Amino acid sequence: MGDLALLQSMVKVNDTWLDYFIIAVYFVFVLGIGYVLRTKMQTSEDYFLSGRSLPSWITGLAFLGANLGALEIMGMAAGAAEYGIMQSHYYWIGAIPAMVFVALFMIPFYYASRVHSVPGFLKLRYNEATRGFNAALFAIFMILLSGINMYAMALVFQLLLGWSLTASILLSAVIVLGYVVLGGLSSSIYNEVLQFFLITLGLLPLVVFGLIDAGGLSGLQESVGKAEYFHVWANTGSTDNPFAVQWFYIVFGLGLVQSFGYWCTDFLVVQRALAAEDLAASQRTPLIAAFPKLLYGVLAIFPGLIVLSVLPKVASEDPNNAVPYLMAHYFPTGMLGFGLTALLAAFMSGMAGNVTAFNTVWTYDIYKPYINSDASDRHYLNVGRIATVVGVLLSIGTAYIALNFVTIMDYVQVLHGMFLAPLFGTFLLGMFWTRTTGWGGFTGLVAGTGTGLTMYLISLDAGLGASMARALWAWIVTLVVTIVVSLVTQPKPESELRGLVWGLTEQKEGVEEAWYKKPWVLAVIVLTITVALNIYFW
Amino acid sequence: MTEEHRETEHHEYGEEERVPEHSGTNHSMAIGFYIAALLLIFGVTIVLAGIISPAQATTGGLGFNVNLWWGLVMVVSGCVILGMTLASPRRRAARQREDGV
Repeated sequence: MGDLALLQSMVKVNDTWLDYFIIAVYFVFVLGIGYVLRTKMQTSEDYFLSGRSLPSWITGLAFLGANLGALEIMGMAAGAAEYGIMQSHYYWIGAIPAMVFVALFMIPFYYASRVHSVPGFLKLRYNEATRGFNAALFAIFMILLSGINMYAMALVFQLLLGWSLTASILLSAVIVLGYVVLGGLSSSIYNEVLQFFLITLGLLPLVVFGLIDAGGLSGLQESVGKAEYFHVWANTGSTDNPFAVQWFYIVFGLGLVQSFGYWCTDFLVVQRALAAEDLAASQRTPLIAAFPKLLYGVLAIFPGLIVLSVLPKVASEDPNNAVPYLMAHYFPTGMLGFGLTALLAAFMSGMAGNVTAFNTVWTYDIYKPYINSDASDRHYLNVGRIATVVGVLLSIGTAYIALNFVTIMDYVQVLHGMFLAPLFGTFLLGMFWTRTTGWGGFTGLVAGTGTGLTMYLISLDAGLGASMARALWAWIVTLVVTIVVSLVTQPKPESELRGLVWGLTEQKEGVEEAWYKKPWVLAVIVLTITVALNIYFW
Repeated sequence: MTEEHRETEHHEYGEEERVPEHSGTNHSMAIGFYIAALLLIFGVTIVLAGIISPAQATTGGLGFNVNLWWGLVMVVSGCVILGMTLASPRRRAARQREDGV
């Protein structure tokens, strides 16, 4: 937690109406578009997927916007202040390969089966129990994640207004609720695309000014004074590196299990691709998002390195706040209002994204199948709205859970290891092995989730290395249990698996004539740049 | 809703029929205008702040007018998005169909 006097001495926000004006303009726009759109969202398909009518550049930027929350902005900079540029593994090896995989292999399945959600896919491929278990877990997961965004939003308000953290959290809750009640969620794709531009235009000058100030990359290296903070792979043959893990855990724990688990199964992001106008545009969505994601390996990480150089006290005492402090350091009034608006936009839309996902899962995968299965479309829309309000209220509680972890980054990786790694195992087997049975999937998922949870409760180790290892084990247990149980239970007939399993699906190719829009062309380009970046920062 | 909004999205590949299943709002153009407008308002505001009080001191002062220059970058970004939205093939297609009717 930050020293309030330090914050106030560094931030001159209180001096000017201009910064407040900029923040106010943002809220007027966001609430205005929500109000206008609310009348146009007529069916639940409209509400959740914008009618599947968007071109890929929009869904691509929304896909990344949905991913750019508190973790990506506050958490990654905090991580970089602690581990140096190795933190960019969470972008390059920990995101790009998985995004390419999602584009080439996962999207066609989701698109063809027309499911609203991951639990929907699980029901078709496995059984009702698997879907129910996953839906319940996912709803909890979303609320736990939503708390981080609320906490981050409160940090910004605390900085702006000088209020206590509790008062700032309550203010954030009121604002997010107001946003939702006034129709903000019907415009979440609009705001995710907007947020991409705001965050990019807010972080880019921070990195540029910081580098100018420090005298370029070599000047920054010199003033930070830790050579190991500027290498991503050096010394990963041993544990003598800032992460204190070997390359094996980075490649398999992070690059394979955690990363693929997140990008393949977190339908908060997958849903954005499904809003695209056709299959080709859907497939292109994660690939278009991958290019700016590469850039964020620099934009989100470097503020953490710059803070080490110019504000070392902040880096050691309150790394979560590195980005807002740096903004206060470099941006004059006007720019500062814009920078803080970009942060608020990210956290608010991140939270709206979590809450939308929560209400979709609650409405379509819990309420509709188990509680009230034959009501009107309008009824389910209202149930979704109520779920949203409840979700915001529950997030106040989870904000305090997030607050108990050393950094936001640690908290999120603990959650990913438990919730997403087992799910990824279940998916992999379901998609590539026809023999996987419904109960095999169910027991594997339960066993894997139980493994992750038990390992965490025994050690209570929230370090990044521990989370990578936990994810790997939870995933392996899921695979083993699923395979064993599948071999002794009755497989589903092939006719039921068509369109759900690789090899039993007639691959419908997206019609795409322009060569530069073909998925594999984009995939090769983005992977080549990834390799080049890893070599450059070796 | 304006006439333009009522146009159903035109599918880029004529040979394939699309099942209309949404309200027909042209979200892609609306998103372009929305973002361009906000970036232009922010950019112009920050440029004005830079011109009116160029000597804004910050602890990490860099020796140039940060508001003015970054405000200009934002104005240019807003103009580019506006231009792309206005020139988008979808908009042209919509207009052509309107002319045809």
